[in-house]
Amino acid sequence: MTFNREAMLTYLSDELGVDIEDINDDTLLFTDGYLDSFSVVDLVTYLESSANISISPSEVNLDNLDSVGRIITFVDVKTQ
Amino acid sequence: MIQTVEFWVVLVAVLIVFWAIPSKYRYGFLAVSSFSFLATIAPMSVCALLGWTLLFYSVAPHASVDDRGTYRLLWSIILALLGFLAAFKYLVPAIIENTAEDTGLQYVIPLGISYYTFKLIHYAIESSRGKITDRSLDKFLCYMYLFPIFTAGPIERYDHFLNEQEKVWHHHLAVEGVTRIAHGLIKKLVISGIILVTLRNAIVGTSGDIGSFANLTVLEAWVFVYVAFLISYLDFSAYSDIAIGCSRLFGFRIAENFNFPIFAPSISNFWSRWHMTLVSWIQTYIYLPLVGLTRKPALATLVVFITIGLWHAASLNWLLWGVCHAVGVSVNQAWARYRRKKKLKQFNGLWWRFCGIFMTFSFASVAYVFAETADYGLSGAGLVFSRLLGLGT
Repeated sequence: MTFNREAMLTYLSDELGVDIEDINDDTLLFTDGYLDSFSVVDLVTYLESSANISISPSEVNLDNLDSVGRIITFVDVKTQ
Repeated sequence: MIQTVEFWVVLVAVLIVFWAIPSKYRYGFLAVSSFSFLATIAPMSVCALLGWTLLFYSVAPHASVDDRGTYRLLWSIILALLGFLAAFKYLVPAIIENTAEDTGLQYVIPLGISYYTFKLIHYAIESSRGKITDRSLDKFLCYMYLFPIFTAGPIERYDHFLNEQEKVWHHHLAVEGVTRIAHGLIKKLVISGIILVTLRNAIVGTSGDIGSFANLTVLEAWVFVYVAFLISYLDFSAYSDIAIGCSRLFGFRIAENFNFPIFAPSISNFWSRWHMTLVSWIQTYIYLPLVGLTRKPALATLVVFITIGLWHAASLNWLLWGVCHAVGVSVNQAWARYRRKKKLKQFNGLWWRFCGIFMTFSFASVAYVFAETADYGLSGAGLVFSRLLGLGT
């Protein structure tokens, strides 16, 4: 599995039921209710496997995960 | 606090001076005014809280994950503050309850201690993460002591508080603020205070006796449960309206606390509309770190709702209220996930939405029985539940 923006959008659409026509990179996925709070585990697991990174408990926060843009930035920093 | 004439007199007087003086003195003036007013209500406790404020203000900005010493010191202080909160919230009430004569201890419970603790922990954690860079003492004290939101929230975030303020007086501030205050007063004094309380008293009387539940018919029991929940919602959201409206008069746009939770189509959605600032705080500082640690969202949800329950009061009733909501949210999220996987679109229609609203309102109302009867213990809740089901006589 590889991580990129398109693959993540496909995951959000196919696995988490997000209508990707409704969102942009700044849309707040959890804060604005596109994702429920249980989905955070699915998202974290997906990011760890697709980007081959390990996410610590302190990194599981909305600053890192609440939008497509934030997720991409977070993964970029982790993989540098 | 809002029931007193002094609150409204102080509000008007402080407002006039606040907008009359140069802007650079306003935070300091409002901090001192708020502190002084609160000190007239609870002098010892407000002074004790000032000690915590200055301690966090001194330590938090210097702590970071990279500096183990100060980081540990900060967390020691946070734990000490939580111990302070627990002592006053659980130990003192337990002593009062188990002592026959008047100990006067009820007067030493610090005013607004829960909300105060939430704000201080938020300030500490975000400062240590480098998210709060403003070191102005007058702004920080104003944030901590702003008297309209001091006793019952909303739990404002510091960055939101600083960024959402209008610095120049404009008549729209008066229109927005007074309108919001009027909404709150109408909710509290008319809809809840007169209409719903009259209805509630007509059903269970005013004696406050557990026996008043025993003779309810099934219909009366259901009306009582819905009315009791509506009263709690309207009272609390009215206080938030008044707090937000008063703060608006000073130019602050305080975070919203309610978004019509009685119209929520699911219990998960309900919790994104009810006491929103508390839920946001808990999500940030308890739920997400727990999920990150355990990868078990149902467990984290259970811990969160039990925490919220016991935060209200250390009783079995509130614990069971928390368990009810945790189970409700977990089942609802499992159902939402199943619908998503199976792409069940037929439940998205208007009819199902109305069903969802009714079921959510009923669920929240029935769960609230534990809270409403907390003074009578589980026997009170059991009595109401039995009447809801038409059991017993």
